[in-house]
Amino acid sequence: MAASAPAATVGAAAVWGQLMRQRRGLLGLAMIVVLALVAILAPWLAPHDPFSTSRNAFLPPGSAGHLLGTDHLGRDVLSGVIYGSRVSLIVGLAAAFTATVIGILVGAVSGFFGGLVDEILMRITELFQIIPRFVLALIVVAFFGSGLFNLILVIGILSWPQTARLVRSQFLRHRTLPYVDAARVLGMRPVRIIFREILPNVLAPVIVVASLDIAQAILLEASLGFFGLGDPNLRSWGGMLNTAQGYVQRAWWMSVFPGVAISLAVLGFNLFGDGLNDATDPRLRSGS
Amino acid sequence: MRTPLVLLALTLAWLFGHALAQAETPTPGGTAIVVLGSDPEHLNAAISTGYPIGAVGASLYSALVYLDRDGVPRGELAESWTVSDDDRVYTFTLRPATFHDGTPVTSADVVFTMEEVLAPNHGRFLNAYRNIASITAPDDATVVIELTQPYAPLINLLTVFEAPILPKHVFEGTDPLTNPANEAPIGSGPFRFVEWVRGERVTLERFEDYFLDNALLDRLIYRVVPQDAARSVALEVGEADVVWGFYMPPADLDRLDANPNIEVWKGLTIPSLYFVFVNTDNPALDDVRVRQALMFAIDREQIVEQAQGGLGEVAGGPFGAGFAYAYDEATDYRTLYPFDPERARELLAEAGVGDLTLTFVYDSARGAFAAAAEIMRDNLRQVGITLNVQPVERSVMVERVYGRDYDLSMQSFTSSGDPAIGYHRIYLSAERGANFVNATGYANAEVDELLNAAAGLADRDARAAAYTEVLAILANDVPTLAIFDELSTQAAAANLRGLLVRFDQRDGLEYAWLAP
Repeated sequence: MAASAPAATVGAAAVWGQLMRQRRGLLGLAMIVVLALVAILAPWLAPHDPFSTSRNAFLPPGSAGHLLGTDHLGRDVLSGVIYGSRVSLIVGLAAAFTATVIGILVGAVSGFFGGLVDEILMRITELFQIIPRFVLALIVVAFFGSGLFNLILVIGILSWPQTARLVRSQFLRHRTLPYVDAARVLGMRPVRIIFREILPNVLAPVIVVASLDIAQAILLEASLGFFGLGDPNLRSWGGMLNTAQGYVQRAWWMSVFPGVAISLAVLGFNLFGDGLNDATDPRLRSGS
Repeated sequence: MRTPLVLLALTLAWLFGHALAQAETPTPGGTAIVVLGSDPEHLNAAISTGYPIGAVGASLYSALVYLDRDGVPRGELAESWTVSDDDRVYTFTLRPATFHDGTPVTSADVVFTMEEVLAPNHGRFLNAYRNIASITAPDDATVVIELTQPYAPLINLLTVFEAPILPKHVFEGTDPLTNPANEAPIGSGPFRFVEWVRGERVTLERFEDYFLDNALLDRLIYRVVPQDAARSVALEVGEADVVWGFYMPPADLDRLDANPNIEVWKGLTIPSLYFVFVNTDNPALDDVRVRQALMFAIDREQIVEQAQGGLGEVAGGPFGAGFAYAYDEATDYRTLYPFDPERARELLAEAGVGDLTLTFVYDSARGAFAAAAEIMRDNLRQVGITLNVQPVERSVMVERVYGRDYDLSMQSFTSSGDPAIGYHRIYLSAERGANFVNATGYANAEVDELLNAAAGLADRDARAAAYTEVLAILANDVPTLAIFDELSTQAAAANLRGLLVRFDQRDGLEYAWLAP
């Protein structure tokens, strides 16, 4: 092992190459790209305004102008599913980003400094880990309201412990490596060592966890929406499922299509995360 | 030659059969089973306003008056009554009647029940009692109620649901809350108590000495079915004959309607109004043109059809269309404010309002409100108003709406059978500040005066005249956006006839009979 070549560091190009060779990760990536395109192009893709009601309630899928049918208020289900991708993607990305930032900060400080700081931060992390996430999210959202910003914040704040523990373990390992010692000897300040020296070297597994976090955040947002705690001023997949509850027998399409959309989005990020994990794990790497 | 004869015979047979069906005469006998959603806590309707207690009580007890199908008070125990010229003294003459234990019903029983049992224990009777100066019995067959001030809803608060008459000799000197007769009641109604199996059923039988026409059914069983879905099923398999709307899972109505053995009924009984409060603290909403624009912009028919599943009637005015004397065709909202986004846009432009964003607060537990909010969001968007929908839990809704921290809020108020009891509070300026009253900030001295006058007029025609004036003012000012009157529902076995003869569907089961 060369002195200044950290073991876990894998070049971006190499990871990409690995990912490309993996069908699962690639499929996940393709699904994410499609989801992102749908979200970005929603105004052009959606055949109707998602909030537009009409007297044509409960039209079945395949009706003229309503490929996936209409709901109890005559709103187009396809347009709802298309616009719902925006909420899922925004909440998923922003919440996972929030969780990752908090996780990195806590994990890095904890792992780099160790000792009492580590002890305290890890107990706090454990506290967050043992709290049932969904129940707490329900309570917080019910209490503070369910705007998009609140949803992102709540889901983000409840999702960071895994990242924190991962980053901590990486820092614990790296802080004794020669390149960190070298940085110390050169008189670098801890903040700089943490962010400039170590962090880039441990980012790969963090990104894996982040992509799995996105999937979890999408699922949590949909669950909150299903319980009627989504943002009431946006069309979201969870919210669509919520209103569909009373019409499962009468209009199955109201629940099936948003349900399928949630499953596909979650599956996409999970596949991508798994693929990324395999691609960055040197033990699983073949042919190098 | 044969075919025409056969046809003739068939036609005659059909005509004959049809004539028979037309002339169906009620036949006595049989047992009917009515569904209750929960076991009554006791069977004393004079100390509780609970729905199941009132249900059983309606058959067990009698009262001075009942409300007919149209809500008009008619004499029950009271053969007749007179009202003094100043509308303050009501004199009732009683019919000869007997309790189920054989003792006669006298004016002493009426006075005792009202003063000793109803006034301290019955939430709604208290409404009337506040206006009562004295209740006296000059002789055995006369009851005199003297009011402190004229109070028109008095008669409506003397029905079996508000003032059932108890036997004085059973209750005198006891605590009415713990009297054993609460479990084995003695009334003077068309059915007498037989048995109560807690949590399962209450069985009544025809009282042969009822003071009016005897009930037709031999037995009436109130069966307790706590699960929503099980009630519809009980009806479908013939284990129950009547399910009232109060206990009806709405989602099952269509299925029951399609069943030839079940008759589903949808109609207006005790009007309950769904409307939107408009907070006039918001400067834009203080402008009457903006409020009128909201009326034009909201598609109330779509709300009834989709948010309420058709179980409603677009409201004809601030008191709905359920009270003939508090409704005026000339100010019917359906003709004054048809769905007309173009007109709404004009009014908003006149008022100089552009790009308005309004918060819409409602109780998140009410599914119909959520659906109505989505329709209104779409409606108002068409006229340039953005709706910021805020579903909140009930306690927060009450705090925000009555604390005037909202722009629009959907509500439903029940009339309790008289607009003076249920709806006046929404418009009276003196009622501002408390919960479940005037939350719009609307204050109009003329409206105050007219409403208070209307509440004091016992004569329906005089009352109607007062309301006509109020209706005209409110139709112009629209401090609340009346959306729809809720329709009650009932599903019953098709062979059970003679239902829905009274204002409240729980009442009048003595007229029910089983067709062979």
